[in-house]
Amino acid sequence: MWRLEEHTADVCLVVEGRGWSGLLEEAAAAYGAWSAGEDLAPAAPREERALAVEGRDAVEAWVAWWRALHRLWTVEERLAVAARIEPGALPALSRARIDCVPAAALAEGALVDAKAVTWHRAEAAPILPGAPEGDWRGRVVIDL
Amino acid sequence: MERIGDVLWELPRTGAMRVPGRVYASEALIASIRDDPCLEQVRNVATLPGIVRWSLGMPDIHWGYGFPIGGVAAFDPAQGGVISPGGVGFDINCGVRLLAVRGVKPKKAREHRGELAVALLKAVPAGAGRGGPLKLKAHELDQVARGGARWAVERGIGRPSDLEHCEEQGCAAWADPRAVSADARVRGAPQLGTLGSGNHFMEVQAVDEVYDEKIAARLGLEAGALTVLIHTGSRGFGHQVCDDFLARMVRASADHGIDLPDRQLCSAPFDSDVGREYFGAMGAAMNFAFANRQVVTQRVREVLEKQFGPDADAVVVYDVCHNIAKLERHVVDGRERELLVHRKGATRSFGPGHPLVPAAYRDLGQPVLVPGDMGRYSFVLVGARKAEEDTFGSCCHGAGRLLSRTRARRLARDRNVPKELARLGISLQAAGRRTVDEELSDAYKDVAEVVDVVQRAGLARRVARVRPFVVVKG
Repeated sequence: MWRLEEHTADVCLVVEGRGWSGLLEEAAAAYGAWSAGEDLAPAAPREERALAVEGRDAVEAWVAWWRALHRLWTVEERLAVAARIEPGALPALSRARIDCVPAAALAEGALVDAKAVTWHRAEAAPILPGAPEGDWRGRVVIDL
Repeated sequence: MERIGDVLWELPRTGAMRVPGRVYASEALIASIRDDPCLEQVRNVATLPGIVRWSLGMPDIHWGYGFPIGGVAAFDPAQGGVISPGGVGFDINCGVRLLAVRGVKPKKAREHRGELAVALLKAVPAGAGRGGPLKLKAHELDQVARGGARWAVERGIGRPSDLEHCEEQGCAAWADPRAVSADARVRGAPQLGTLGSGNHFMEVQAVDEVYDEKIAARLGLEAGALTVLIHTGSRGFGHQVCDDFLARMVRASADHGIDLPDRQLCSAPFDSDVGREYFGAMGAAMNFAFANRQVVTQRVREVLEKQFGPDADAVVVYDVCHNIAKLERHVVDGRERELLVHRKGATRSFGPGHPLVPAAYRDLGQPVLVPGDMGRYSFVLVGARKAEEDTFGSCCHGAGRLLSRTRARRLARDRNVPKELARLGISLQAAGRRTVDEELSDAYKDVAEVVDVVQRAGLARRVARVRPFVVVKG
């Protein structure tokens, strides 16, 4: 699940998911839904891409995950809409299969032009401290 | 915070700050930002190594990433001064170019504003991710990254005289495309000659108020004169350059023992491998933006000629950068020093006589272009020597946002923003509804208040005010 938070001229996304893996999966869905304004047609063609991110801590891995999703879109022109995180994923190393929609299948007018993922106010942690198997919450700010 | 002048406030040196902070603002603007994190960001910038004199905030200051938007800071490379991608911003050389339109009767232009808006949007791709008809091959992208606007002019996209009226004459000589990543090249290759989205725009305007008739006449901005204002930057090319180097600079900060109150402030000594590489890559992105605005200029000329006949033309008044870091010579404590001046959401403002001001304007001062929101007005000023003394030759760059994009969209939900603009005599064409709602006038401060502070502080002088009647947004 995800929501937007007030943040100046850019966008702040707050995401929640079950465990570290659930957080990353929700983030992938959030990236696609927010970018396309939730107008993604169910029939839009899907492709699959592999992603792997690593980080010295959860926040670093969290920012790296969003940067990877952003790169998938801006460089490979594939918009992530869902992710399946491989078992055993940790902030130190997480691998995933991403469902994505090619840019050509999307209506340009609905899309958001994001410059980059920032470190600004980046957060990623279990909602209950010391309970990594429970729900996690992450926040990321994207420069538009 | 202490008030030390009519429109000048000082944040005293405390804690890890190496220099004080200084913010230019009226009482009303200061009240609006007193609890804003941007003041903390001014303090944070003041902790960076090699910073000289002050960490500055211009009157359009607001919350940014690392540096505040509206932030200016100069560092001395000879004293371990740093370079910081956060002090430039993701949109390297986001900037503004003003054209003076010739050979078109203002009344006719207004009568045909709807068609003009449609034609401009068709000629200059705008909107999220939009590429344009110019798809650069790898070697061409390198040439753009080295040559900037000059690359375009050499290919007949514009005139040599266009370059004379650009900051850096439209080309950062220090650019090094070897420092630019493959990802930046992939993003940039299809985007030359495009507007982008967000707060980027093209406007056709008319001068509706003149504050200095002599200078206005010299700039071609007499009352009623038509102008075109283009606001765009380095697109995905520059965004990726910044992103690539932020990742490297986080590590470099640790390697060089730079304490970061905010990770987005990551930096490295200018005189380090990564520092110099970033400077070269930033120069390449700067050139992409100059070339971008040059191509857009030529498209505007083509549209004007098609719409209004062969006598219709547009002359470059000036082109300024808003997000940049440059080596400049400034006098500090009576001694001239070479400093690395970061301007993030700030404009260079050199006064009369400065050798870097084009010969045609040297006795006037450098033109300073300050865009407002799409429903009101923008300003043209000229730089002043006081800016060179007090702000490393810098002043404001725009209005600054009041409302977040989310709040702006909520406010616009039950409104018809294009119709509201039409009632003001403004014809709007946009690539998408979302941006239009996010960019409504209520979302911005009144740029007149910002410009008033700059005038009162002596950083620049008002010359003319322009109002749009055609707005094109991404």
